[in-house]
Amino acid sequence: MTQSQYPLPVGDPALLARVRALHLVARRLVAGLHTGSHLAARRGYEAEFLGYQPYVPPHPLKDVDWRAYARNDRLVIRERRAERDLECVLVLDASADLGSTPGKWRQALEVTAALACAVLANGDPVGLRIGAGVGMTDRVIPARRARGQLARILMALASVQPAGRAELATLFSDVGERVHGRTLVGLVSDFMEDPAAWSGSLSALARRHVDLRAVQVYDRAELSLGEDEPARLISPETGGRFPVDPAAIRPAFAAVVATWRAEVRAAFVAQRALLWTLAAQDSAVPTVAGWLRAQPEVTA
Amino acid sequence: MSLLGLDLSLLAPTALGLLVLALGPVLAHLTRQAIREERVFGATLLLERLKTRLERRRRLSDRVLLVLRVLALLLALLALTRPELRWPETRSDLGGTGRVLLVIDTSLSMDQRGVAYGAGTTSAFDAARAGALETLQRLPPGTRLAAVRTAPPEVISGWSEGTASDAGALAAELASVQRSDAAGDLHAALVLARGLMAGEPAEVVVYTDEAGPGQITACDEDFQRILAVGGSVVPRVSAPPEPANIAVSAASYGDGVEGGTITVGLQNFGTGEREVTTTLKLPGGESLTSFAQVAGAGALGAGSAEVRFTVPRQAKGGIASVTVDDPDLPADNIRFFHLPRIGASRVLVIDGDPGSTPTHSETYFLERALAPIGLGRPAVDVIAPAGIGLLDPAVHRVVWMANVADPAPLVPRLIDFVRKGGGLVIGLGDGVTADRYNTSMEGLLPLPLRKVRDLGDATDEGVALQMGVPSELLAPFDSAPEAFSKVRSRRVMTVDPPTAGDGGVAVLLRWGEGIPALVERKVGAGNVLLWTGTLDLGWGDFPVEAVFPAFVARVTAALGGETGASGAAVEAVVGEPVVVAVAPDAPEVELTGPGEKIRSAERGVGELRFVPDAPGAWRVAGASAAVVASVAVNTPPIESDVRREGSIAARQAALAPDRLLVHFDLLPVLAGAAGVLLLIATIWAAVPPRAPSGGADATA
Repeated sequence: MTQSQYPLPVGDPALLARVRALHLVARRLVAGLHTGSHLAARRGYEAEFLGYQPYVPPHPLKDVDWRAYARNDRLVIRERRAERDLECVLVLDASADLGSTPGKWRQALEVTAALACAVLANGDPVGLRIGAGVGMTDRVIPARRARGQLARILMALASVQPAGRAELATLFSDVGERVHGRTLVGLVSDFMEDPAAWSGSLSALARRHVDLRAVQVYDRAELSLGEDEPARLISPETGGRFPVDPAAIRPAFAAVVATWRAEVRAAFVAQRALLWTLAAQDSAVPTVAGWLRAQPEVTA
Repeated sequence: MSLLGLDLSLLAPTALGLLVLALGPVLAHLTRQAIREERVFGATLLLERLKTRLERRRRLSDRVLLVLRVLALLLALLALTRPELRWPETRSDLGGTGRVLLVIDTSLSMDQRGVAYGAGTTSAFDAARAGALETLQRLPPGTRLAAVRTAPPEVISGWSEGTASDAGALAAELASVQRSDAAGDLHAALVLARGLMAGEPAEVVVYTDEAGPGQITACDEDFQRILAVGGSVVPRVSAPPEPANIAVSAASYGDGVEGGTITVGLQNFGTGEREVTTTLKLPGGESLTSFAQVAGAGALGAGSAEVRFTVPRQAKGGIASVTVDDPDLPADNIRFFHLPRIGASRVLVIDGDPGSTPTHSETYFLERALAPIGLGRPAVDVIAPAGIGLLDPAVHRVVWMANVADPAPLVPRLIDFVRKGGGLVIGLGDGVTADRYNTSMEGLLPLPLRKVRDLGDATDEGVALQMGVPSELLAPFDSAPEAFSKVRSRRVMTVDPPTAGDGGVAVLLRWGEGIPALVERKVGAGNVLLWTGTLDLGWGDFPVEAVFPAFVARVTAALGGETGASGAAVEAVVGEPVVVAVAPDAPEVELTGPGEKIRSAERGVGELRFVPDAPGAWRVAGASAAVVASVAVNTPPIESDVRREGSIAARQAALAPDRLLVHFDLLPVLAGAAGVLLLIATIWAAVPPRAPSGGADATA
């Protein structure tokens, strides 16, 4: 954080501690990962060699490989992988549902921080958009590569408290309006809203030629209904109360969970987007690595 | 506790206190339902999706479990009370003691129809007799037999020797036994049976319908004694599935002597309301029909209804009958009752001093008093003393003598008329001479006349009338004695005071000075009234007082009974002795039963005794065909009540429970049932709710 030019919250030791802790975790998660390996969606001719292509006018002559012409008497051009900047916007769902268990919220924060850290380390600009939630220093942080960007993102992550409804459909529309051109959009959420309600907005976002990658965070204990004792389950978003006997409804609930997850998965598959599922109880390293390498758990 | 003939008793009733434990599962259920833990849950979206289905399933599951557990606990606790089921033992095998005594109920109620027998139905008696004959055929060889009937209670056959021919002879005797119209007496029959048993054991097989109030409970002592000697009473109930009978319980002629109504009482001993046709048959042969809705019997007793028949203005007296069309017990469908002659109750006035003006004419006042309106009142025949030949006992019922100077020519007819039940009212006047009356009417006058006495001059009001000794004749005036207080008389005929030897003489009205005003005397079957004043305004103002018409009407009604043409009216019941008074010097009399059949009777001193064996109109008549008594014989009312108050088997079981009851311990049954329920509850609780199709592990 020594590079940061963004003013750290020195007057708020607790926040500062959370920022540091988050930074440490993020660095640990991305440590050893081969950064900069995310694949560009567009081909270029400046960097990594991909192969030869016949020269076809009016292609610029500067791209002609004259050495190859000398050897083979044929005009060819060298095709290389472009190494242009890839703007990345991370979208964090800070709705109350995501904060229903500490593990789930912590996992969401850490994976978001790790992704931001990794993208910046790769030299790409990164931004942040927080849906719902309260108390954050910034709700929207434009994608930049400047010094202090990471600190600003970590500050926002460390300060936000889960609250309210994410309104995923609105969030996706809002993100879509802010992105221009080649952008990598990373979604971190539990997607605990009816897929039918937000799949349309997701589709609109995908039609902007963005690279969509999503991490679905969940709590394994929560989706298995926890203890057997009857309890009254309270929705943190609506306040609705559901008296349930977990032992009695567990099988039926599992079926509903499976159905819902299939619906979420189908929504992303339809948009040729990549989706990772990450339990609060599991390590985020494989998910972050897969995300960076575009090696999806579920591929389009 | 008794249910369907089964008795349930608890050997350890104190364990019932443990039933409060049955509240345990309920409380536990309620406690479990009270959710104390609350958790924040981030996947309520998913709960919403299965909310309705799960709640319905949870409710069903919980309630079924609760019911199963509570039932199981209740059964277990009930088992701890050691319940025991008892029912009377029914003996199917007879002849074990070597002696079988058959008791056949031959009472009227055994005429009940609808008793299953073979492929059809028959009467209770026919079914019982057939059952007895079948029993005889199934008895082991050598069984000694005897038979008794209940109506009348008598031995049909004493103990046989046990040979086959004996059984055949008894069967023949049983086949000839007929049902009686009399009341049965099972107790008396069992007393006879006990006498035959002579302290030795025997099986007493009773063929009965067990109907009638108190019939079975009256036999408790007999059951005890028979059981005490090692015998048993084996009931063979022969009765329709449900008691049903409608009977005519009463029939009476209404108030008044001149026309009116006959009120018929119906009783329904069955459970359902029924409509029946009721037919009244008058002695003259006329028939009247009516319909009645009779309510069913309930906890308060038999259902009842009344039917009223308006009788003709003139009808022959005698024994009438009322019939109800009831197929369930035909034997008691008819009731006989006495009907007085209607419309023949004319009044004869013998006017000894026709006055020159209405105020001096007794006839004038009597006609006004007896026929002020017209219909419904007796007609009045007026004759002079010389016309006494017109006195007809079959037509006239009351004779008023008004100031007849010489009664001697009238006396023989009047004595005959009064002795047969006619009424005679003697009114006096200036033409009456005490000596002539005392001489010629000695057998009729209530008290000898003395002399005419003035109680004041013509300007005086005279002395007032007062009530004398209480009497049935003037009973309607008891509540208003002042009605006579306005009556004044200035002159009266004094009479000798009544003495102890004047039996049947009563002073019903007195003048203010104690002088008798109205004196009654019974003569034969009739009555004689002596009015010591006049029936016109000659000596007093009685005819113009308001009480006069009521007095005349009452006297006419009270004295206007049958004139003796049909003799004494007697009511009797089949099977019960009847005693009819017959003059000791009367010639031989004959008893005629229903169908004009001559019946035997026992002639005693001044009486005739007989026991009617059938309902109907019975008649005791002399050789000259003069009727001495008409007897309306009806069936015993107790036999009409076909409801069963108890059973012989149950009474015996109550008296000797250990010997005649089958005991069934319910403990193992209840404990087993509780165990099964608990097992079901356990399985029910263990089996999870069925997952919907496509279910999978929710944990990724």
